[in-house]
Amino acid sequence: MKIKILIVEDTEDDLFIVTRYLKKAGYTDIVSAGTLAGGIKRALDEKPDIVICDTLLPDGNGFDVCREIKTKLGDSSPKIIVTTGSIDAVDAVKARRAGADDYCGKTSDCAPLLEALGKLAQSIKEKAG
Amino acid sequence: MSGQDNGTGALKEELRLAKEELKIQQWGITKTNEAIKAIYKELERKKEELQKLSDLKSSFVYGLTHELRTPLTIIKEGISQITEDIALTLTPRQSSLLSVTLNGIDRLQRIIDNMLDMAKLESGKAELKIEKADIVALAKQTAAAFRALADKKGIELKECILLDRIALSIDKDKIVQVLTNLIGNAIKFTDAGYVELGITDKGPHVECYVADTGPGISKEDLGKVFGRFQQFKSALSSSQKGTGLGLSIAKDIVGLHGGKIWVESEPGRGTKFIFTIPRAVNEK
Repeated sequence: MKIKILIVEDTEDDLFIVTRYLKKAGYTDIVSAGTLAGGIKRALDEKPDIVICDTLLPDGNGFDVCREIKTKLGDSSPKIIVTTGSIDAVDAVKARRAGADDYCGKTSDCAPLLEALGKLAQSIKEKAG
Repeated sequence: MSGQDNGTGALKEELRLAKEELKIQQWGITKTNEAIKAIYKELERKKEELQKLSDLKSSFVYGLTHELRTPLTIIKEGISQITEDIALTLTPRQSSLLSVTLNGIDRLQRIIDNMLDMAKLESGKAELKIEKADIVALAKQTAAAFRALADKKGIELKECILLDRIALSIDKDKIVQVLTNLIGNAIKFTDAGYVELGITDKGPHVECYVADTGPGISKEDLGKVFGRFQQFKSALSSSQKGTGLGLSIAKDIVGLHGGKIWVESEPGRGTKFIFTIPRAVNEK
C-alpha cells in the first residue's frame, strides 16, 4: 500500500528538507500546501493518509488544521503529525486536544518525524490488511 | 435514590473527564520530552561535526603556516644580507623602504609563528614538556629581556615577587611564552607609568600577574580579549600591532597546565592579567 502524505508547511526551506527526507525514506506520494486554508482544502481534495502540519502558518496555526480536518472528515480523517521548531508542552497538549496523532520537533535530519511517520504508516497498513 | 444515582453518575463523568485530561497532559509531556531529546541528540551530532571541521581547519593552518615559514626565513635573510652589504651606498629613501620591508617581514613571521602555535594547540599536536622549574627565576629572566624596551619607552618595569623560589612542574618554554605575551602587550600599550610583574603563592596554586598603567580596556572589549585575531582600537601603528593571537595562545597554554587566566581592567585605570598554575595537578 502506497502512503499518501500531505505536508502543510509555509517555510520553503523546511518543505524542501522534509520532502527530500521523505522521498529518501521511500514516501514518494507527497502533496503540499503553504497555508491553513490551502492545507484543509488539499486534505479534503486529495484524501491523504497522513498529514504533516507545521504549528505556525501565515493564516492560522497547525492546531486549527487538525481540528478542521478531523471535524470535516470524521472517521475517515487522515493521521496527523504536528511539527514545531519551538518545543512547548502547552503546544503539545493543544495539538493533542485538536486531534493530532503525534507531535514532534523539527530537526535537520528529520529523524523524529520519520520515526513518527513510520509508526503511523505501519498502523495504517495493518488496518488496511 | 435517583438523586443519589445522578450524583454518582455526575461524579463518575467528572472522574472520566479528569482521567482523560490527565492522559492528554501526560501525552503532551511525553511528546515534549521526546522532542527535547531529539534536539539534544541533534546538537550533540552538530557538535561532533563542528569539532571535525575545526580539526580539519587546524590541520590545514598548521600545514600551510609550516610551509610558509621556510621561504619567509629565506626572504628575510636574503634582504638582511643585501641590506648589510650595500648599507653605505643606500639613499635615505632606499634605507627607509628596506626598513619598512624588514618590519613587514618581521610582522608576517610573528603572525605565522603564532598561527603555527595556535594550530598546534588546537590540533593537540602541542604536548607539554613538563619539568621541574623555578617560576620566579623564569619570570625574572623574562622581565629582564624586556627591560631595555621599557627603558626606551620611559616606563618602569617593576617586580612584586616576595619569594625567592617556587618550584613547579611546568613546560618552561610555554610558560615563558605566556609571560612574554603578557609583558610584551603591557609595555606595548603603556605610554607612561609602569608595568608590574607579580607572583604570589596561594597554596593550592601559584598566581602570576602582569599589571600596567596603560589605557585600560572597555567593558565591551573585555569579553573579547582572549578571542582570536582580536585587535582593539589603539594608537599603535600597523607595524607595532600584534597578531591578535598572543592572549588566545596564553589562554590555551595556561589551560593545558590546568590553570585559569583572566583580566581585570577599566578604561583609564590600567589593566591586570592574572593567571594561575595549580600545584596539585603539577605534583602528580
